[in-house]
Amino acid sequence: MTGVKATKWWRAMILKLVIITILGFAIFGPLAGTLLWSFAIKWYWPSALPQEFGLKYWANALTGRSQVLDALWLSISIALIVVAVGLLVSIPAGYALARFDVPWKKVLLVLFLMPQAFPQLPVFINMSSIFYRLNIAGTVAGVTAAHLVVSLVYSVWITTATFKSIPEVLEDAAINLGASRVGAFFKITLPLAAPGLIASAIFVFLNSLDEFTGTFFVGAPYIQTLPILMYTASMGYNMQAASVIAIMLTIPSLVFMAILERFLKAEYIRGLGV
Amino acid sequence: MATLEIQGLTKTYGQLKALDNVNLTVQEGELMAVLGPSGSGKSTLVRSIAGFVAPDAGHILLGGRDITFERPEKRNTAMVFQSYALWPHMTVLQNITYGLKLRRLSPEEIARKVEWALDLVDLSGLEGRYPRQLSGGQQQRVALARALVVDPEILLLDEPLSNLDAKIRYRLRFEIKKLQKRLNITTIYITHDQEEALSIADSVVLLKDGKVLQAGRPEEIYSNPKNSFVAEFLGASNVITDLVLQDREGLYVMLGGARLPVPAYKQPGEEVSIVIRADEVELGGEMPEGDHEHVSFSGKVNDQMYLGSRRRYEIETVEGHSLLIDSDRELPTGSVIRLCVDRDKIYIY
Amino acid sequence: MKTPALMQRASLSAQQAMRRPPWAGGRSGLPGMLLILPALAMLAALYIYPLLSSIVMSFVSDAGVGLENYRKAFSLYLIDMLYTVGITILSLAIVFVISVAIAGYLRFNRWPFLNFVYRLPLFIPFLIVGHSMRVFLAPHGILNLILSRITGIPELPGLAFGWGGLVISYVWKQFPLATLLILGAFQSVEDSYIEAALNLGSSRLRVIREILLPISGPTVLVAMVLTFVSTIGCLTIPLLVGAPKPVMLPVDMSFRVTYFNDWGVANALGVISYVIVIVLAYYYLKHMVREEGA
Repeated sequence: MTGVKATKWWRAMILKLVIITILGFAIFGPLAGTLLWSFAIKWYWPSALPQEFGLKYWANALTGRSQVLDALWLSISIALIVVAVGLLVSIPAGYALARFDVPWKKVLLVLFLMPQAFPQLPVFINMSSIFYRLNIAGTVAGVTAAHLVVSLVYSVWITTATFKSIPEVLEDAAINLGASRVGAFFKITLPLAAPGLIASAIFVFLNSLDEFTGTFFVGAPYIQTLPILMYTASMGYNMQAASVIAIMLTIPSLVFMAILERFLKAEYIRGLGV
Repeated sequence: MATLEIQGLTKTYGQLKALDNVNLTVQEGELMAVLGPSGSGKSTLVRSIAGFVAPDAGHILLGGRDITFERPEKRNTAMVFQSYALWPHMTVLQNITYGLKLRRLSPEEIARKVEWALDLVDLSGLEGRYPRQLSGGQQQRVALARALVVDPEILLLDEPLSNLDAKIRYRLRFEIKKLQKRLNITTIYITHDQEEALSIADSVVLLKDGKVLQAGRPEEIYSNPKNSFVAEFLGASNVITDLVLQDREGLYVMLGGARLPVPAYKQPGEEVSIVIRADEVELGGEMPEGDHEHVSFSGKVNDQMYLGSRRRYEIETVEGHSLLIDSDRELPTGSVIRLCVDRDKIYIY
Repeated sequence: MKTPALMQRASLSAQQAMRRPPWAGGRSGLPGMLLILPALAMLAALYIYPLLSSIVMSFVSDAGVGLENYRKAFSLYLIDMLYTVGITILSLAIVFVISVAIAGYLRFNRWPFLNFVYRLPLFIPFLIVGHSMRVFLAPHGILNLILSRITGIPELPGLAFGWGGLVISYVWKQFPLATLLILGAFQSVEDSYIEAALNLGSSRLRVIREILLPISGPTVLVAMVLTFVSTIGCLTIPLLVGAPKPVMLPVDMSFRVTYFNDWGVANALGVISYVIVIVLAYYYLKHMVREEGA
C-alpha cells in the first residue's frame, strides 16, 4: 500500500515540477525579457544574456528634463483627474442604482457596461473627429474625456456593487435616531463603502495610466503620455527605452495587485454581478 | 452486496480527533445506524468509506478488498447526501441515468434499470422534471434511486431524512427500511436522531468524539446503556449527579428519600450519575409491600406542561434534584407525590 | 461565498424600499434619476454619441448616402475580416481550454503557487504585453534564443509578426480574467454535487465537463464574451506583434484613418466588427441555452 502511495506521490511531484517549469516560463518569460532589455546596453544575437549591462537607459529616462519624466507626470495628472471626476459622478450614480427605484435600471447598467462589452476603437475614432470639430483634439481635456468613458464602467459597476453590499438597515438605524438622509449617507454609508470605492479608484487610475488607443486617436501627436512614448519607442525598435517605460508602467499595476488581492477574490468578482 | 470491515480507523484534523481507532463490522445485508451528536465523527466516518476523506491510520475493507486509499470513483459505494445533491441542470431521468452511463451499459439495460429504480421509489411519471420542481420527499427518493440503480456494494445514507418535515420523515423511514430489506443491501445510515436509529437499524453504533461508545442491537443498547452519555443520548431526560455515601450495608445514594445501591467499584465521596427516563416512572400511588423489583421515592410537583397526549411534570426531590417525568395523570402543581420506578430502569454510573 | 448572500439580502431590502411611503425614506425614481444624470450625460456625450455617429457615418461617403463604404470595405478587407474572426475564435478556444483546466484543477486541489501565478497577466496592460511579446517571440527573441540552445538549430523562425505570435499574445493576456471568473463560478458549486458524481464513478475530468461547466454556464458565457470582445477590439497587440499582411480589423480601421483619412470605410469596418460581436454572442448564447435545455 505504501509503495503504491509513494509511486503516486512521485508521479504527482514530477508532474507538478513540469507544470511549474512550463507555466513559470510562459508567464515570467516575456516579462523577464523586457526586464533584461531595460538593463541591457549591448545585446546581440545569439548571446544568451546582454553583453553589456548598465543603468544608462534608466538614467536617460529618469534624470534631467527627460521626455519620459514629462510623460510620466502628464500620465499621472490625467489619471488623477479621471479618478476624481469619475468618482464624483459614479458615487451618486452607483448609490442611486443600488438604492433607488430607478426606472429601466437593468438597461442603464448594461448601458454603462457597453464601453467594455463592445469594440471601443470605432468610438475613439469618431470621438477624435468630434473633438477635432470642437477644437479639443490634442488637448489634455480631450484625452481626459476619452479616458473617462472607459473608466465609467469600472467606477459605476464597482460603486453600485459596493453600495448594494451595505445593508440598508444601517442607514435606517441612523435616520431612526434622528440623522437626516444626507447625514446618514455621509456618516454611515460612505465610510462603510470606502474599501469598495478605493478599489474602484485603483481600477480607474490604472486603466487611465495604461490607456493607449483613446489617447492615440484623440491626443496624438500633441499629448505624449507614457504609453504613447513606449509605443513609439517599441515601433522604432528602441528596445531599451521601450522596455524601461514598460517596466515603469508595470510597477504600479503590480503594487496595486498586492493591495487589491484583498478585493480581488474570485467570489468577489462574481459578486459584482457579471 | 458485501461485508464492510473497518479496522482501527483514525483521522485527526489539527488537534481534533474526528475518528479515534474505530473498529466496526457491517454484515452483508445489514443496516447499521451510526448515531452521534454533531461533531462526533459520524460524517467523517461515512466520508472516509466513500473516499472523500483520507484516514491517517487504519483500513477499510469492502467485501474483503482493501479500499482505504482507493479513489472515490473506483469504490462502488453509493451515497445519499444530506442535501441530496441532485444536479440542478439534469432532469430526474438524467440524474438517475448518470451512474449507469459511466458504467457503459447498453441503452436497453439502462432503460430497464431506470424503470426498475423509478418503480422502486415510486417516481414513475416524474422522469422529465428538474429537481427544483420536486418536493423534498420526492427529491429524497430521486437521490435514493440514483444511488441504488448502480447496484452498489454498500449504500451510505448521510442523514438522509434530516431536511424533511416530521410527517414525511416517519413515512420515508419505514420505506427505506423495507427497501433495504427487499434489496438485502449492506447499508450504513448516519443520523443524530436516536429514535430514527433505533427504529430503522439492525444494529446501532454510538459515536462520540470519534470513539465508538457502544455498538449492538437497538434493544440491547437501549436497555443496557454502557454509560450515562449513551443513556442520555438514547432518550433519557434525567441525569442527576450526586456524591456516593457509605454505611454498614455498602455504598448508596439518596433519591427522594429512597436508598439506591451503588456498584462496588465506586468510592465513597465520588460523583455518580443517576439516569432515569422520563416515561419510565409511574406517578402517584403506593408500591405493594415487599416489592423488591421497584423503587419508590417522593417528590413535589414544581411545574407542569401540557403536551397533548400526556403531561410533563417537573418534580423536585428533597435532595434538591429536579426530574422531568411524563405521565397521563393530572396532578395539581405543588402537591407532594410518590413516584415508582422499575429497579432495572434506574441506571447508575 | 459570503457575497451572494449579502447581495440577496441587499436586493430584498431594495424591494422593501420600493414599498416605503415617501415620508419614511421612500426611494422613488425621480431623485434617483437626478443622481444618475451626471454619469449618464457623460456616457451619452462621450460614448453613445460617437457610437451612433460611427454607425451613421458608415453610410456616408463621397458618393452620398449609401452602402458605398461597405462595398469598399468588403472588397478591400474581406480576407482581413475572415482572418480576424479566425484568429479570435482560435484564441477564444485556447483561452477556454486553459481557463477551464486551471479553474478545474484549482477547484479540486489547493495550489497557492498556481493560484497566484495565473493572475499575473491580468495586471499587465495590453500595450506592454504587445511589447514584451515582440521582444520574446521575435526571430532573434528570447524564446528562440533558448530554443536554439536546447535544440542546437542556429536559426529558428520567429513567432512574432505572424498569426502564432498574435494568438499567443491574446491568450497570454486574456486567460487570467476568464480563469478568475470561471473559478469563482466553480467554487460556488456545492461540494456535494461533485462528490455525488465521483461517488457514482465519474472521473474528475467528467465532473468538470458534466457537472461543473453546465452548472456554471452563465458565468462561462460572460467570461467568453468578454474575452471575445476584447480580443477582436484590441489595437495594440496586432500593431506590435501582427504580420504586415493579413492584419486584424482594428489595424485596418486605424490605418484607414491615419494614412488614408478615410473615415467612412473605417466606420463601416467598425460597424462590421459590432455585427460580428453581436452575431457570435447570439450564437453562443443560443448554443448554451440549447445545452441547458437538453
